[in-house]
Amino acid sequence: MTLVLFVLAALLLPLYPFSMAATALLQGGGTGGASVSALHAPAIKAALMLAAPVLGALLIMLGMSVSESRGHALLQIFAIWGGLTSMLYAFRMLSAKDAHIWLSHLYASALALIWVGAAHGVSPLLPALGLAASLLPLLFLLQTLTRQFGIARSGLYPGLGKRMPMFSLLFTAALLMAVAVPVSPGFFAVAELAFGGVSANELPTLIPISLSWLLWTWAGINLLTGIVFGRPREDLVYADIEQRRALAIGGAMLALAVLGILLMELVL
Amino acid sequence: MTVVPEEVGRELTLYDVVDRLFGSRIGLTLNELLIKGCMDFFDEGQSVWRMPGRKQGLFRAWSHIAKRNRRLRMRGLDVGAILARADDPESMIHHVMTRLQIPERLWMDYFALELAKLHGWAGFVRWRSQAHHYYWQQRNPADLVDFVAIRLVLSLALIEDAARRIKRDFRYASLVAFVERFPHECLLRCELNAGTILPDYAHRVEVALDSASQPRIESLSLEYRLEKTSRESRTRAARIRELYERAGVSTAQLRAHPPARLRRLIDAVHEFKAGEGMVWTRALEHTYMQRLLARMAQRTGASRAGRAPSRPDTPAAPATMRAAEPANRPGNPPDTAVPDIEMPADAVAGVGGGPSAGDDAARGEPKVQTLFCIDVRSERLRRQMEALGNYETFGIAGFFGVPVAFIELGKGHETALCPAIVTPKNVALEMPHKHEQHRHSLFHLAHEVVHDLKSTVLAPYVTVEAVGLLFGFDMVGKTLAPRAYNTWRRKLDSRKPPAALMIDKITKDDALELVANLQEEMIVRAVEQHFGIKREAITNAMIRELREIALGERHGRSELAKRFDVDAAAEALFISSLQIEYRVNPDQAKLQLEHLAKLGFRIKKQAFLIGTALRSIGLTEDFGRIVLVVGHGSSSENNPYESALDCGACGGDHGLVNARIFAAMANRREVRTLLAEQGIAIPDETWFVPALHDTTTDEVTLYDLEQLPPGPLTRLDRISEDLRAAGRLCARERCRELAEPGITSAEQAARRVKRNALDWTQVRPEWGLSKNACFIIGGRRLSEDLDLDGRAFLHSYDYRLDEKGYLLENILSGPLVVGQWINMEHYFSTVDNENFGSGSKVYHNIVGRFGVMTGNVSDLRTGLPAQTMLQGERPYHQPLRLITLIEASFDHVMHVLERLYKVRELVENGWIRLLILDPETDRVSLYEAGGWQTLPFAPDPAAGQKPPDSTLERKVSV
Repeated sequence: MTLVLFVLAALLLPLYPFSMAATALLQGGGTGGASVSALHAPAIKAALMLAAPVLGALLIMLGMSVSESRGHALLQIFAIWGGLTSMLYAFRMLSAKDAHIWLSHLYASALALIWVGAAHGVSPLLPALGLAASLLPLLFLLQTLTRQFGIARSGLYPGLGKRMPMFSLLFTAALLMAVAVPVSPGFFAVAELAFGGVSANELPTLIPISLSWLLWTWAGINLLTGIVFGRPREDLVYADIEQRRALAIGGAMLALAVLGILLMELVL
Repeated sequence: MTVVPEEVGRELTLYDVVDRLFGSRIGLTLNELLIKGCMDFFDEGQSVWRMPGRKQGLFRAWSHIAKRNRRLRMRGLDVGAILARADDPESMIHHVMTRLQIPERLWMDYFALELAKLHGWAGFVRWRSQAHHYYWQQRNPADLVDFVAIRLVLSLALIEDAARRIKRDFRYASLVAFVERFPHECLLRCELNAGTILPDYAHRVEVALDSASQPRIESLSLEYRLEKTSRESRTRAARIRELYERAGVSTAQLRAHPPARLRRLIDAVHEFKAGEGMVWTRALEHTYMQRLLARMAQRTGASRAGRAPSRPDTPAAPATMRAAEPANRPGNPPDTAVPDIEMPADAVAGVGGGPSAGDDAARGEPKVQTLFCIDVRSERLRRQMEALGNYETFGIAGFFGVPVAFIELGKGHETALCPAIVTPKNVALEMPHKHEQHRHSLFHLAHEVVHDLKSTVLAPYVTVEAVGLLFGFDMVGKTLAPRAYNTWRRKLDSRKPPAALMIDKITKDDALELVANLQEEMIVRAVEQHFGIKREAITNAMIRELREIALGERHGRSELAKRFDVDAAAEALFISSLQIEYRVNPDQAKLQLEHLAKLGFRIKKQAFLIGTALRSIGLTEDFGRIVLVVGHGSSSENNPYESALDCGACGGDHGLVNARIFAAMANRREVRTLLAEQGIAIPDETWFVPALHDTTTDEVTLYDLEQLPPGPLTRLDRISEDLRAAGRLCARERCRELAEPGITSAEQAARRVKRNALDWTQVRPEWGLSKNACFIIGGRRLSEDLDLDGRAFLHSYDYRLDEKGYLLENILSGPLVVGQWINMEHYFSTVDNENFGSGSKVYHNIVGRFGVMTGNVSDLRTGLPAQTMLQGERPYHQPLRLITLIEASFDHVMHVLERLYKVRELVENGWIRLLILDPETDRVSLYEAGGWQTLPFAPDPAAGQKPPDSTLERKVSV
């Protein structure tokens, strides 16, 4: 029973190859030519991105309550699986030019780390929520890019910093939040996963977490370089983000930062 | 954007095509690998661990390392195997070109393409290979053949690696065949990889290319092409609409035009785009020329109305000065030179009540003549000095016609102090006034120790812990209080002892004695080191004997060997050591004598140089008691471009040494005697005084005052005061140009510019020669009352003293050509700072002590940095071609130009805008579009209004 619950959780806190479903869902609707279904609307995606990890975390907790000893043994295996999945996706992020693909890989890489923390006694619910919530502002901003250019992709329309300064400011902040820099909820979630468990400081815990974190940042810089920096193209029409939308996303990021700090308070 | 087969090998290298079609980054990787190799090889002492085997030349040294480079092998680059196929660069080039199947007819184009990829490095290698006297080139030779060979070896390895990974054949024939066979695929690939694709097509194109289905690719390509054309047309139409709206034509009126006419309109606007830059350039030039001529006409018209023409450089009060001439001639005490003639009205016109030259002349203040460099930055100081007192200023190339190689005290190398087009034949040496043992101050010693520690492999780890904090203090001091801190630091530094310049030739006997002394000093050292025998134990005769044996002039056993019982083998070894290590041998002695022969100038040569210089500026009579010879240089901290702010006529160095040599020669009695024979009578009371104008702070410092008699010294106090005042006024102008905030007085401005010179965070200590616009060859009376805004090179010239045109020939072939280089460097650095300039200073790093790169790996930066050309995002320098105005008769100039092929080419090909102002007829001729046009030379009624970009207005009040 515990194994079944864990396998179900592996669909929601995605472990490779189950992660392919989650990444496919997140990548849908992001590319110019693909069909856009209701599932791909950003609001729906955001809801699913939040709900899935919460459900996954609950399933892990349920599995542990069914049989703690068996659950503990299984979690060690799932933790290694999670660590490998996380590093795999983090590595793949380096070559991802499409921002939706990039985001889906980050989602898979981040949530796979929950298994690593859970195996060392960290309660999975709040880190899962923190990591998933940190990605939401970026998701909405990518939608803005897709609407304007038909695709959210690095290298196709560089230099947005000059032509769309408000958007670029938000995009940079959202991207930094997504790769879990302080004081985003993702940062506190990563810190909790790394140091919150009884077996904190163990190499098997720290290596996947720190390596993935490093690769996220590297991939983040790649994405920023290809979108925000560079020389703008003359043949494209640029329109900066509307003020209302900017305020909404900016406000949401501020709220998330506060949530991150509260999250830390709760955990501590 | 796509690849055309004909372009391959001519416009594009093979890896350019591969990069475009398959998104590989061979070009970037190749540049990076080559730059790293070049940095290692060309290093001139910056790195602690040197590249081995550099004496063998660039290609061999690099290939020696590359064959063993495991990192290259790990990247899949089989460089070792390629290098095994040939030893010399020529054979290697042949091997690579053959292996890539590039047809031989394309080879030259292909090499040119390769060289243009890193034009900064290629240019440096080319310059170095031709600089036969350059120490590092002699030591570590390199040329463009080596450079191309390395590029080709690396490119072959990278192309073959890419071919393996992508599983395609990237040799010339296959690549061209692919481009010819699949034009649709090539179009989509190029668009995708170059980042020029319509963003909403990117995903579809990628999927189609991945499918490798040609019908699908072809269909998408056609659709894409249509869509792109359609969008481009819409963009063009929108721009035309915007253009018309700005011109006050409504969209409705525009739409009323028939479509065919609109199409022609759109095409015309886009055709115009290609030539738009030139239209603006010509407009700028014409505006500048018109304003300049109008102001000059106003000025010269006024002066002609009031007096007859006189020597062109005589400033505001020439008539009065001519009246005072007899008093300044030898034999007449200068103090009695009280002119009794009324001041001409124009001499003080427009001065606004401030002190003026006219006032001083009227008071009988003796005239002071000053020779300045033609540099645009001298214009401000000349103008301010002329306004302050009875100063007559002249413009001459800042090396003052004395091309010299200079060996500074304590330095072992020669620095050429002359324009880059001249090779100096004479050497000047700096010698201390008194011989004293060189002692290091404690500060100096500590500085050296820390520097040495930084340069070793492991010591920095310890040094940081031990003395890292000291660097912190240094940083705080330099940043927060640069003026006070740097003044204190300079006090700590041990100062150079007072030194005199050795500018006279030495006799052959003196030279022989000097060499002999040097050799004997070496022998004394060698004896002590080899045998531990002190100087007091050996006699002069023994030393002389050893010298003669080492030089091969004597044979047999030496007295030293006999006295100290040195066996024959040891003695032979010692003699051999003397010849090889200590260089006491006939060849070295001959070399030393050749070097000594270059030292100094013969008196005749000195008189020739001084005479030519004085004649070229029209100063052959009416000498003042003091003639200042003002060289210039800049001062700034943490600035790799410092020499760009120094004197171009002195090879990018300070002009002080040339000024000192010029003054020393001109003060020499023997020289004056020879000059008098040539018709240039310099009175005994006249003294030439060298000075240095710091163009960053506008301070002028006088030098070699100890060589003056007491009389002139008393006058120099007053002159120094005037120089300080003029400097402060210039500093105020400078602060305005630099947009320094909160400057309300000249004193405040002087303090601010001083701070700029000492501040290591200052990226723009001064504007340098930015905004240079014109080169005026003629009398000062043309421009004396005009504020030329520090934009004019001013070369004094009196056509009446140059019947055969030789002096003008010198000016055109030397100073003008250098001025044109400077102008073009500024022009191109402004119009495309990223490619022709050197980009922002903020990212610059010094490489190998010979160049500058952006970041840690880049092409060597050429041109000038953005901070010199741009103010914010807008250009500060106005990109004009050098407007050159010559004051002489048309026929005279044409006669000279006929002899000067290079200058004629510059004029005929439009690199210089030449104006000839005939002073006899007041006719101005402009060379334009292959012929001469006449321009009006008359005052412009609107000339009184200051043009928006500043320029030609006199400022006198503080």
